[in-house]
Amino acid sequence: MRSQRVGHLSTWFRPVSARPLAGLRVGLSLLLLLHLVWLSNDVLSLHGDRGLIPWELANLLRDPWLPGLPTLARALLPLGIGLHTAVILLLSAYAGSLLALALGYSTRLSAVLAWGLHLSLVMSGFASFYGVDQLANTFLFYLLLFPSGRAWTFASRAHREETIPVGCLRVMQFHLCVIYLAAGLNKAMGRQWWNGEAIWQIVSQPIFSTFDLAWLARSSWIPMLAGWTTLVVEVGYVFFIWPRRTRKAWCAATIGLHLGIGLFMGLVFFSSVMILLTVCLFLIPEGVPAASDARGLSDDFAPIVRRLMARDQVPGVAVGVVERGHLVVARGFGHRDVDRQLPITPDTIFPLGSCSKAFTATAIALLADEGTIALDAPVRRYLPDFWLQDPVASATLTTRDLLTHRSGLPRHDLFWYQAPFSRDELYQRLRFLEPSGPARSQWRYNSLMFVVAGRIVEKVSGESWETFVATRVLVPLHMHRTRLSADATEADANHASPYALRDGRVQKIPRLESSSAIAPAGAVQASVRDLAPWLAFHATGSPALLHETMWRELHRPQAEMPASDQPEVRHRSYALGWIYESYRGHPLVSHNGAIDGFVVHLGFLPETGQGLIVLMNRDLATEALMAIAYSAYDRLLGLEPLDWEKRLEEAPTALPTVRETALDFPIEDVVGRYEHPAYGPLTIGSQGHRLVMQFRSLHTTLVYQGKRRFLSLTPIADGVPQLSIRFSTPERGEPLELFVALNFEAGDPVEVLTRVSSPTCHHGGSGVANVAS
Amino acid sequence: MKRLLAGVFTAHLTLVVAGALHLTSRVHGPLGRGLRLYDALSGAGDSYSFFAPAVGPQLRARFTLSTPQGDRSEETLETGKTREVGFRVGNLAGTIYVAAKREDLRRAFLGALAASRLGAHPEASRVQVDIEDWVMPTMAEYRLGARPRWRSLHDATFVRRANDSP
Repeated sequence: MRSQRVGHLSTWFRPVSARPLAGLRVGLSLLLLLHLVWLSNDVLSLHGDRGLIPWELANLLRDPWLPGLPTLARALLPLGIGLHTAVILLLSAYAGSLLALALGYSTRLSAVLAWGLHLSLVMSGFASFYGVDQLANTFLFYLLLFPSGRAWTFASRAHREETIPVGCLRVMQFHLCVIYLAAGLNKAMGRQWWNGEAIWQIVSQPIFSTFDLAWLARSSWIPMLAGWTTLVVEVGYVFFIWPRRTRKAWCAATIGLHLGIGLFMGLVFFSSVMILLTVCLFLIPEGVPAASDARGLSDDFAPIVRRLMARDQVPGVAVGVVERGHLVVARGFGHRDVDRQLPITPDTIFPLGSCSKAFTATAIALLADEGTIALDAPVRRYLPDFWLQDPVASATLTTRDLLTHRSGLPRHDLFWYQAPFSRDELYQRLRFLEPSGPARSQWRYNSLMFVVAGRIVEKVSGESWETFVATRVLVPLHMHRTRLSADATEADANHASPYALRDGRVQKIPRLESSSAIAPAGAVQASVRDLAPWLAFHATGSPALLHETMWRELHRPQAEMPASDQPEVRHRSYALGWIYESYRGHPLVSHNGAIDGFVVHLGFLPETGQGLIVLMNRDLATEALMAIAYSAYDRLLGLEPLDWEKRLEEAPTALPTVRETALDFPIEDVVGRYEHPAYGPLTIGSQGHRLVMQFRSLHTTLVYQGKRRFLSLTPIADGVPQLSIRFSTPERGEPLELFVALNFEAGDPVEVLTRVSSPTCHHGGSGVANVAS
Repeated sequence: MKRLLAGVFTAHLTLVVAGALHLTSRVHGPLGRGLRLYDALSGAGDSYSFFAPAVGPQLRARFTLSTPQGDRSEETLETGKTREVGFRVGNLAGTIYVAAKREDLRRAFLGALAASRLGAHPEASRVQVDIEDWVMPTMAEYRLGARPRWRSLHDATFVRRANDSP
């Protein structure tokens, strides 16, 4: 709950460019200054102590508790400054503050002065003021409250471009929408605006009349149409200015409306201010712009990477930092191929492993954004043949549940790992996988549900997952060298080779094949340079592939995760293909990926819009990966760096001694071929008094522990416990069953395999035939 | 801090909506005064009724100046100004006439305007101030021959005193 609140707050404080406010600051102050010059011959008649209306009389009609120009002028009397001189001084100060604001000198102080003096003019000269003066007061008030940055100032050359919290911009945008909506609705309540009389009355009044439009009386449909158009533009503003598809059209309509007012009513100042507001608040891109002096990473960062590489025998690392939408750091360390001494470069392609999940989540978000699917609708709405072992989960799981690991299934990674079957067959076999609990009861990482999400993309769009991601994500983001299969990466000369530690030495290992079945969860392959626009999109929302609401949905904390081992990392929740957490008190959205021979980390800081890419070509080097990542975040956030090299030092893990018990049954009794309806075949052979298990390419020796239990001599893979198996004691006619813990977390279900053939006998049983049916 | 700022943003926007719905003007007492002060400072309390729900008539002040010799001349405040200045100056007379509901106040304002005209025309000894509104026929009336005209709402005559310096 707390993490959700943190996420909600981050939506107010996401950094966006200060340029819209800077444009408003420059434009509004210049317009007010121009207007003051325009009125210069008459300004003393309107505001002066010898003006048309004596101050004493005007004071009788205005709010007494707000200081007007007379009050300020009288405050200067003790300084020996006469009233007339004081008025001139105050008007000069007003002009000066507007000029300073336009030029960007002490913008806050200038804004305070400009707003205060403008307000005093409005107060004392109320009789000669109209709506636009109040609007100017409103937006000067915002300029004194909100930072308008150094954009378009003389200081902008010496400082990097600033960002502002998006909430500042949204408050003003919302206010402008209220202005148009209220103006439109107030008009709509009058009959004159429906029958065209309002337009007729306005253009016929001597004070507004620019042209002789008396002929309009004979063509009453024209003022009627103009009235309706005004209502549509003003009332529709709030509805059509936000969607990106209609924004430009509505801006054009609004600008057209105000140009018409300026032309036919002569209200040039009013029209200019209104056009300025729409242009600045809705047309100037809020995406964080480029800058040449990005903060990046400090000089001590590269030595950290090199030390960690040496310590953990990492052949190569690629690091990228994205700031304000641009790749400001792009470095390669070490080699993509050690034997051939080929260096890592920012263009070296790495498999992203589970960082691919965000691509599938984004594909789903694109479909949800256009209304084709609903995140909270049951999966079966789109995939009627969706079946899990748990019928309730089958019927009620939603697309959001798939993307947030709330299916109730444990990892079942060995099910898809090196799976010899197709993506379709993998999908059909899901119904035979044992859950670890009810759906939505707890967060359990499971890549297979992203395959289901990918299938939804295919079913709804009518395109393959690969085609959809390529055309709707990669092309718009200009990720031209991003690949969606290992084979495609192999064809690119600049790709990283996989390495792993074997017998204490780093060695090249075969690239994982047959990953196409799990592609929506782990097949994306990209370089630092190609990933820059991907992270920029997630960090800043630009380019706008998605509406802001849906874009936020991707990163909003949605499923509580187990706590991190690191005290600096708190509030961990899964979003959609991303993990949301707080790192040293700052929101961090990230994900790791790991596939044979590679570990990668992608993340971004919502507060600053900075993104980080770390790609490594060594199996299971997660400690080095995270030491590099956290060291980078410390520097990007400007925090005192922690010694992550020491903190994440890999504790040497001595292999446990495996006790071996004398066999108490004939070992040939359990030898044979076993079958699991989802996992497929597994072979048990004998080697003296030990068993040998072969599952796909996994080969392990098992030693007896008593009570028909065996334990692998070594873990079947790095980073997982030793494999434990047990054989049943079948009654006559019953098939022999093998119980294997193919998932490794406490509480995970044990898979049950049935022997389907042995050297001496053949049992029938459920097997592949069932799956294929 | 962020939570506080988010709350401030939300509260401000709530007042913006309340102002547009004419709700804050209905709050009385110290709270109402506080709200109106904040509305005036921030612009949050505006109701944005530009030309709504109907377009009101244009008001103007017309001055008829007379000299002791019997010469007469007429002028308005907007005469000879730019459009923006003319609009503001023209607005002034009407706004004050409407705002000053008391007869003595209206006369005081008209007197101030008259004094400004007499100051600008030292040869004049007398000025009549007419507050007029623009009577605009509807389109249908216009097609039938009706034409717009200025209609006098209020008039007052002021005479320069003998000891007034021109």
